[in-house]
Amino acid sequence: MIALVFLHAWLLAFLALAAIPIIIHLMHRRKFRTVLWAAMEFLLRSTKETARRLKILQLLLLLTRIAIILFIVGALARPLLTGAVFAGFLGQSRSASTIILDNSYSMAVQQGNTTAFDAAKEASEAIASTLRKGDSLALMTASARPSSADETTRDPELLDRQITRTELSDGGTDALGALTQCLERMKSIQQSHREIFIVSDCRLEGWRLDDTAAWERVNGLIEQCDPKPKLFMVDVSTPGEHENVFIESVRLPSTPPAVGHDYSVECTIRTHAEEPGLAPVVTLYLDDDTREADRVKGSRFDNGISTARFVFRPKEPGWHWGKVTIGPDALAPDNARYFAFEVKEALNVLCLDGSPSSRGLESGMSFLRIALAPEKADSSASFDAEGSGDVSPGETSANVTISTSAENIVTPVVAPLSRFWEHDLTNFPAVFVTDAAGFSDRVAASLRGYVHGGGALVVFLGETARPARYASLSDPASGRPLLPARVTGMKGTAVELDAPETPEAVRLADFDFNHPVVRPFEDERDGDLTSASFCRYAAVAVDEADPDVRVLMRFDNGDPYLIERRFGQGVVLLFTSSADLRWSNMPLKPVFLPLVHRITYWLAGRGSAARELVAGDAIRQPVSSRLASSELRLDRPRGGPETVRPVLAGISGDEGGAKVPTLVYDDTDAAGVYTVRAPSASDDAASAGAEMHVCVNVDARESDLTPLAPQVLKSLFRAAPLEYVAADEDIARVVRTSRHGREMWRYLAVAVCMLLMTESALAHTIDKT
Amino acid sequence: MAKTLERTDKTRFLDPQVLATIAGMELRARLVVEGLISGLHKSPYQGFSVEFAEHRQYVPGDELRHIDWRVFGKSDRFYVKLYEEDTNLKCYVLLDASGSMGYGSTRPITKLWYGTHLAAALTQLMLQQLDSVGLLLFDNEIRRYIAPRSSPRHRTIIFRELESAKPGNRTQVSHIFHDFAERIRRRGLIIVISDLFDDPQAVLTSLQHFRHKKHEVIVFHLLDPYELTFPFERLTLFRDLEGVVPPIMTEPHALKRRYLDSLDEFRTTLKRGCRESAIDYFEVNTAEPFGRALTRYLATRRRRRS
Repeated sequence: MIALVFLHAWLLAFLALAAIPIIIHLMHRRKFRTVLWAAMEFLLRSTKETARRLKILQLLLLLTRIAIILFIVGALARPLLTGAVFAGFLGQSRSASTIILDNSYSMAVQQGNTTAFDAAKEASEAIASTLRKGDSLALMTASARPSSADETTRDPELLDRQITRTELSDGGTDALGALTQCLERMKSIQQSHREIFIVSDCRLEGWRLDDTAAWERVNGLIEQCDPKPKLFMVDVSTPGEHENVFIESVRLPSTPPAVGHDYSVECTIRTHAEEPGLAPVVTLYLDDDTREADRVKGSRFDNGISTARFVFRPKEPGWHWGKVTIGPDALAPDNARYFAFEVKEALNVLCLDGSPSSRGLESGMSFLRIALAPEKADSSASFDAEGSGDVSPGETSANVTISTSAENIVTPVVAPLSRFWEHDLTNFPAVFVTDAAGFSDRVAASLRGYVHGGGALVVFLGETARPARYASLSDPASGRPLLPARVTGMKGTAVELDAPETPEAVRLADFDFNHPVVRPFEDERDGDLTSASFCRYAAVAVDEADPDVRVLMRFDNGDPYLIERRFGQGVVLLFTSSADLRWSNMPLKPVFLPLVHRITYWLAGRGSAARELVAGDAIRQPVSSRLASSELRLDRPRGGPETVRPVLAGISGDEGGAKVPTLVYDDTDAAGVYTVRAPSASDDAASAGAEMHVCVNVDARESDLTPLAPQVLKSLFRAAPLEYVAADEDIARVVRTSRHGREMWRYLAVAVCMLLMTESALAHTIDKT
Repeated sequence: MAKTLERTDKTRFLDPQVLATIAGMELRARLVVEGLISGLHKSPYQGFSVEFAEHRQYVPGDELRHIDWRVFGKSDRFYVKLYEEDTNLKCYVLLDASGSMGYGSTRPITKLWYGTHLAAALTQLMLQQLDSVGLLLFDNEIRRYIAPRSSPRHRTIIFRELESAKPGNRTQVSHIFHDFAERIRRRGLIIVISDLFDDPQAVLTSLQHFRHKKHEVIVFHLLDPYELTFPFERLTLFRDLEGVVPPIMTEPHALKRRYLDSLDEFRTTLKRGCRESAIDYFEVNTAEPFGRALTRYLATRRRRRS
């Protein structure tokens, strides 16, 4: 909306001078003389010819004189035709402006010899050049972790340096987040003239078009600003750039890698081009980005997606990283993707037997141990069975010879629960507990610490389980239980070996196939979970409202069988039935082995997934307790190493949980591998072993270069109009015109000159008339 | 006072401003004439006499009172003065006393005031020349008619009438003239003293009516200097003296040119028309001394006599 404002509004009081010609005219008309005249006929004849014309000319002359005064006063008051609505007359007010500079990686797109980010910097410098004395400007970035400019500056040189120093990040755009921050800050600004410049390539991503709540908040913040800020969208993109090929994801197998075992990595390459080109060639680097480890050609693009798979065999245990790349295109940052993995020599899982007894192979732990490592089972592990296939609970199992598999790296370490202290729980990715009657405070505390530290606990209930004694697993301070459910009692009847009748049984019927543990069994050919029957199980009370609790499997009567509770990185799985044959025939079912393995691999492989972040995400990784008070060295992909010290922090998402030593690091704007190294006597990075790798990748959503239509963007700003400035417009001129409006005094001065000439001509014409 | 008047320059009484300071119509008229004569004696018109027309040699039977004893003293011969009465001229002074004649830019000298004094001077002059003088006062009708006589008492009557003349109604010159032309029987001299603010063609036609009746016609067209120059500058409300035309509020300077052009056209029309009709037309600015008008009159008389 156009408005007329005046820089020297006080001068408008002199508009009253325009009444002078009228007053003079009226006074003149009052001051007439009366003459008794004889030659009236001659006078009448004269007036008849000229009266009307004379009146019109005199009226025009009066109006011209009034207009001259009005225009002179108006010109002196310095009127501005502005493009925005202002309340009242602002005069020559100072501006408080903020530039939100999009430094997401999509700005690295090549536009001729420069990039969109270069164009954005130029545009920012052009905006900065419009600073007048007294104006202030702040600079923010709009990547995934918007930097807030707490300090404004009135120094153009300082501002230029800030702009020059601003670097591209590998993060995505969070323009809405940056804008929200800016508006929050703007509420307290004193200047009445406020401006926000969003300098961006205006891609669809980053604006959260569907997040109506966020947009309501933005518009609400704009409404709270009085007066409202002027909003500018400076689009530095050039059309026709959304044909980008990028690596969208790298999928690692759920089974953790082990030395000498094949490890498969699958890349997904995507393009948004309508006509994608040839299948991309993908290159793999392992631990060294100067030497190719492998190169494969991806599949043909299908709906814009191509895949490529690498299979390699790690040779060394410990943390490793990999990088996959494709050929260069207009946007480079999304042509590479990093992944980290920890290679194990073996996957040791700790199995704590709550009731080590002479039951020998009939104990739950025995079955569990065989299931975890069937190739390691000794002859005592074999047992006779009649028939094959289905074995009813209570019957001795058939000979089950489980062929050894070179792929099985799981090694169960069995120990009595009472001697758990002999093992450092943190050395095991998973701890299984069977037949525990209860837990001492010491055991309970250790298990709580272990789980809160990211460990995984799997509990099989059994006949010896005493629900009351399981209460010790709850956090004594907060009362938060460790188990995902509270045991309320028992249901069904245990199988007695000599029992004449088989008790009633239930079967599994309801599965959460969305869970990684259950998903592989969606197809019965991969294992029929419904084949097992259960005649006794623990009745539990599950807090279904707890978002950290999840029932993965249920019996056909609806009672839970397998329940999960998460504690941030840690997880607890509870089986309400035992691992032996007294409560069910599950251990004898073919599905039991793959289920146990699936659980084990999933529990062991969770850590590596958490260590892949997108740029801007904070690294928040629990570390070993031995490093709790160490100064760790963090090697970054960009910039020199930093020293970081772990802090005690709760697991993300588990505020009520215990605090564990955690590596916290925020500055992840650069994509690449962040390596945490333990302190070493030498500063040489090579001699300091890598404690872990954390891979930070670009947010693949930012690789979608689909432009955001200006009309769509404008429609989102309900509270104040958005002025859209295209790439080829002179932003400095737009700013000046918008900020200062179009000064009209020159036009008024020209009009005054013309009116003066008109006045003179009219007066002369009247005289002649 | 009369002796005082005699000793001073009497021509100054031709100045209307000076004359206005003199009280009494008869005195003023006499002073104008004396001023005129005085001026004439100093002028190239020396020798021109207004007292008598000419001399002729005495023949027995002539009245002794007409013998010019001065000539006898100079020439030792007897000559008899021939007086204007010998021409037996009847003069009719037609004085416009309409409302428009009441205008005067310099009080008390209005056109009527000027006209009455001009008429009085002419009456004085003519009676001195033993002509018969009559007076017709008119506006939109004949207000007063005094038939021509030549006795001294007649002069008083005329002067009295002139002195009491006041501006009357709207001018209807042509109508009056036509009417009067039909009334008078004997040829004579018609002296019109008026501003002639009427349709010029109608005025001319009426004046021609007099000519048709074999009268000599002299027109003294009286105009005030302001009427001639229209010097008004300020916003002015003009009100009609005769109350006929509605008031006009105007910027005079804006109308001046057109007004003067219109007036010039009017004057030109009258002048041309009078000339074509062998009517003596004299435009008289009421700011001028009376001498000019009277001198023109005398010249006309002289021409007529010759």
